[in-house]
Amino acid sequence: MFKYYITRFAMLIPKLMVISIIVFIGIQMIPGDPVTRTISPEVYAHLSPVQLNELRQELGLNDSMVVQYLRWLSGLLRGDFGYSLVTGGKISGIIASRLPATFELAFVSLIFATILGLLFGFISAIKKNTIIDYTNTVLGMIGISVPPFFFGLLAILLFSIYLRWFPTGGRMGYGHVTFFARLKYLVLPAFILGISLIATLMKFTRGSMLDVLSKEYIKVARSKGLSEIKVNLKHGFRNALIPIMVVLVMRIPMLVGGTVIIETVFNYPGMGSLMVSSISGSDMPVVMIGTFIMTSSVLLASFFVDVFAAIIDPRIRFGTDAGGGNGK
Amino acid sequence: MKKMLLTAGLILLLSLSVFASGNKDSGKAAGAAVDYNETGILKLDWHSSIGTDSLFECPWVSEGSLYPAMLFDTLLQNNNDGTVQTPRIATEWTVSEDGKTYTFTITDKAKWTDGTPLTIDDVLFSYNAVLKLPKSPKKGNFKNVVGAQDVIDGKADSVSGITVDGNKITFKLTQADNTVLSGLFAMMQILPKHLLKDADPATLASYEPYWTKPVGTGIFKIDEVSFPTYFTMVRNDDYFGEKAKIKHVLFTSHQVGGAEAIISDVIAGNLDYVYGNAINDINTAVNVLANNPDMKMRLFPGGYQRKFMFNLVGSQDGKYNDDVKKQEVRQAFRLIMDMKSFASLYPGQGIVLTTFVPSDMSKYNKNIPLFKRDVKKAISMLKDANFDFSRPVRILYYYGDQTTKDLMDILVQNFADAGVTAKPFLATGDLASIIYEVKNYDMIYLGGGGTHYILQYGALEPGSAFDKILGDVKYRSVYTDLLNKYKSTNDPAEIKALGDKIQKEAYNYAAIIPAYGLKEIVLYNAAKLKIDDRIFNGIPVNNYHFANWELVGK
Amino acid sequence: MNEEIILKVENLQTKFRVGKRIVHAVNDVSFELKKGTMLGIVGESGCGKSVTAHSIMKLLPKNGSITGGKVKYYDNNGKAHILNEYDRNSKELRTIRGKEISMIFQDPLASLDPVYTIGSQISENLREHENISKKEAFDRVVSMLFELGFSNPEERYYDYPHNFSGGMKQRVMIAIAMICNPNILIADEPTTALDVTIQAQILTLMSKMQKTHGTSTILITHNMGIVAETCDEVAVIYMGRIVEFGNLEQIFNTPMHPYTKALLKSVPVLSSGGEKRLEYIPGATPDGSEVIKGCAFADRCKHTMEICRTKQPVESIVDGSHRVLCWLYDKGGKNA
Repeated sequence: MFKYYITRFAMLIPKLMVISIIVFIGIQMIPGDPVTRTISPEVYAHLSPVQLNELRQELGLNDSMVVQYLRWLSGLLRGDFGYSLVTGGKISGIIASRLPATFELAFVSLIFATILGLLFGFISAIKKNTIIDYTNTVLGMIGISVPPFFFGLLAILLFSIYLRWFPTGGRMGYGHVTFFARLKYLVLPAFILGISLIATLMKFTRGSMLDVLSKEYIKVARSKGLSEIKVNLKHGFRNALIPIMVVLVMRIPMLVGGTVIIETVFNYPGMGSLMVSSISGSDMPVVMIGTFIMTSSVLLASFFVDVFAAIIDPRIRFGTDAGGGNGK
Repeated sequence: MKKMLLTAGLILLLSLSVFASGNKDSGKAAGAAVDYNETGILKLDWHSSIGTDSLFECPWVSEGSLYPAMLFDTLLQNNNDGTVQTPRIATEWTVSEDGKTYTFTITDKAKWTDGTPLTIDDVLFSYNAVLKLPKSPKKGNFKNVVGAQDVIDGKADSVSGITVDGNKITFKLTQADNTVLSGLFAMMQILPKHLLKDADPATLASYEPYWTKPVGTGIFKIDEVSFPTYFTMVRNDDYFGEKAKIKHVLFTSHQVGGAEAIISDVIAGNLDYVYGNAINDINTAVNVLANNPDMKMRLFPGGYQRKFMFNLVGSQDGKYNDDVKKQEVRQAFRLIMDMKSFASLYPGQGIVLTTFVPSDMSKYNKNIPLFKRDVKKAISMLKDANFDFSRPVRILYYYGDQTTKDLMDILVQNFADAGVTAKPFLATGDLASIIYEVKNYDMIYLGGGGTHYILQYGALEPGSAFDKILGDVKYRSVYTDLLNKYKSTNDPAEIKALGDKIQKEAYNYAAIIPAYGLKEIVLYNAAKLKIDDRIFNGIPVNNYHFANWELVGK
Repeated sequence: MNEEIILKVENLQTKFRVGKRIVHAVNDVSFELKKGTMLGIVGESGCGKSVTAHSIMKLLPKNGSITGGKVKYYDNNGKAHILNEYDRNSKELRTIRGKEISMIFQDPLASLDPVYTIGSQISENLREHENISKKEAFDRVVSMLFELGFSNPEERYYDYPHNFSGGMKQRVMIAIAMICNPNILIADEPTTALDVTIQAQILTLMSKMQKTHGTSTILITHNMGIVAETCDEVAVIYMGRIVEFGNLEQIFNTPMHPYTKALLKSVPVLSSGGEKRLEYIPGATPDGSEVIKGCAFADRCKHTMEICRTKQPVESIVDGSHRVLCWLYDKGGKNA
């Protein structure tokens, strides 16, 4: 079992390398003097051409690309991301203040969306072709097709301005620093961010559940005299989860991508909104590092979902396919 | 099965603990603090040009929110209309006969919030250090200070014209300048030498050990900082001046959500005092008021103006319409554009301008006829100037709001009335390079201003970035001469005469055509917050009178 | 042989709704299962034999329902349960399912839940019905697995279905069905999906289990050979009706219904030997959604008469328990 996890984890490394190479090439292609990205712009403005050249030598900017890449990579691993062109601050500091926020938002949203998506899908499948099922399906269609920022604005208008149940935005208010105190700031953005995931998961859960419920082993479970809840949950849902996990993994990048819009709508200071402001401010080093970190997080998140998938499906765990070979 | 659940639970716990550990430090700070809701808390917007992610903004570089006014002190304190100064860090000051030497005596009561007393060294340090910051706009105030330019150029380490003797600091000027009191001495924050002396002078504005939680001498001090979301200030009980009535201030960042986030927070009652771009459109402000009746709107002439400036140099793409280089053409354009319609897009807020000085001000040159649109006359002027009616005039603007788009529609129609094709386009992205380097426009619609209306003609002086647009540095030095004379006299009649002359000169030159002035808007929660009304006698930023602010309701 | 009846099916009718059509899967089925015997239900695919089995346990899919007749089950105390009157997933029915009547399904490959160990799937049945400890359940399962020929049952307990071959899976299915020692076992084509060599093993095993545990069994199959090997009584079913019912000798030695005869000729009977060419029954099974006025077999029958096409035949008692549903035997039951 652990061998599986280790192999999965090891597979992340080449993927991360490829991303880092792409990001490195991207940074090289940013117009302007690369010195500006390694020292703060204000120091740069202060230096004479001779000093600049010395600095270039010192920073190894005259070295070969491979050497530069390796040096950049080792800096990256040590958390040295260079400087923002706009604020002059260290990128690591900026990321440190933004990454946990997005992580939190995406994580809560993922949990939120997964629970609701699975629940609605499960109910829809069990109550197939009833009014509940039809309502769910219609709501799901709306959830998939309406852009999330629209829901976001509506939610702010309704829940924050008229009903005043939730704050209009932000990540925390004064004294709301603990995770649970901050939850009320997360409710709206996490929910809105998750809507399309909820809808997708609902659709897939319904399909997967119906597929599983028509399986022979469900009949076997019933023939054992098990209650419907046990049949549906223990045998139906557990098996339906396996293909849904794949969908979930594939949707994580979209979830993280969605933070770009949702964070801006909800004044939520995370990586997504950082990307927006950095792109509009042409702060390319921040854009590149941000991209790298967001992609890495998506990879890491997929890894965790893989781990979870393995937990629920013994066939993955033991590396055999479902065909049922000849035993040991 | 149980093992699996256990593993799953463990993963969940681990991820949760990441959040928990990430906030441990700030959590402690919160535990020690008072419950702000109980004692009342002034809620303000936190915005800054460098963002709110990791550092506070250095007020020498830009002053985004109210925090610098609360945390730092200046030598003198402006009156709201900018005419009279009162002591602040300086207890008294003297000006020499010739108006070239200013001497200040420093208070011995001021203390930094870390307990260190403020000394004359801090003042000297600040007035030298600001000149070494590449991006500081404050350097403009040092123009007439002896030796300041050498420090800016890196030729000297300290300003020869600034000297210290005991608790007295002396400034020597190259020429008399009646604007230094309101600018150089009342708008220049003093920062602590003992905390900033180790910083690289060029990067002092982003020196992490200090700017993550700056220390000041002001009426409030910074309490808890939670980048990038909020920070709090608490009353400085050791303040050397009149102490504040309000005890707690909360600054919440809207850097991410921008104007929309600010507006929704104002409507939801989460901001008590707002000003600036987000709400500085009367239409938006009225809309906010309709949704939150607790809010009150105040308008004051902040000196903000919108104007048209001509590109007199040329563009990179070769499509430049060089007819705008003709003075007569520019004057004709002024007659074509309907400034009254433009101003009326901001009902109650817009003021039609003829020169930079609003016509109801005493400084307005009465000899210049007030703005009146005259298309017929314009056409004949254009014909006399051999204007090529077939070539379009490209107009760059960079405000993306609807009102500006409406204004551009009117503008296109105005020009069409005269048979001229106007082609406005919205510029986005790297504005500095689009405006100053690429310059693919003939005329630019821009905003700016200052409370001292005559000094706004400084825009025509050579030596600024506008040189790249206006060119003809030789001719424009006339404005430097006129403004220098204007600044160096204290005789009211002479001031008036020089002001009139500058207006007349610039009116004829017509390189910059004022369109309309915009009164500035402040929205504040009148049900909760009592502010000192004096701040609206001029412009609030000159003197907020924070000591008189009071929280009266929840 | 004990003649006590344990299950009595009377005029069972089951219908399916497929879109707008109604399919009459079981039209009028009556039979009795005697305690400790094995009853074979034989017929072509789609004749309604599986539906009959599923109807007994009310394991029909949601679009299927019993529209008439009775399924009476007599429990150990002699109490009669009218199973079709219990709600589909009612408590009453669930205490009988798995515990007193259990079932083995056609496809062992699909009948086991892939995400649980086989041990847990077997003991699930046991623990659902009997209030015993985990350890006891484990021991019972292990001894059952051993009885079914697993050499290392303690280890196999923790294996997942994908570690098993088809035959072994069917053994696991038998274990699931037999673990509670049920009164009735319904085996729905238990060997169809298996290799021929494995089929014999499984059948032998089933017979052995039936003998040692005294379980009354209904064996559903399309294979007359299997019936001949294992059953005591036989019901031949065609288009949702039992066309002939009798004991093994009666059916094999004196088949009456033309369909039974055709069936016997079309199947390689292990005991018949010789080089006899297999015959096939001409025509195809009619669509269950069509309402047929007369005998459903009329179109494919060699002996069709006028009455066959117009009137549903009535049951004739041939000889004791031997009954046939054919106009040929309407009077006296003489072969024409």
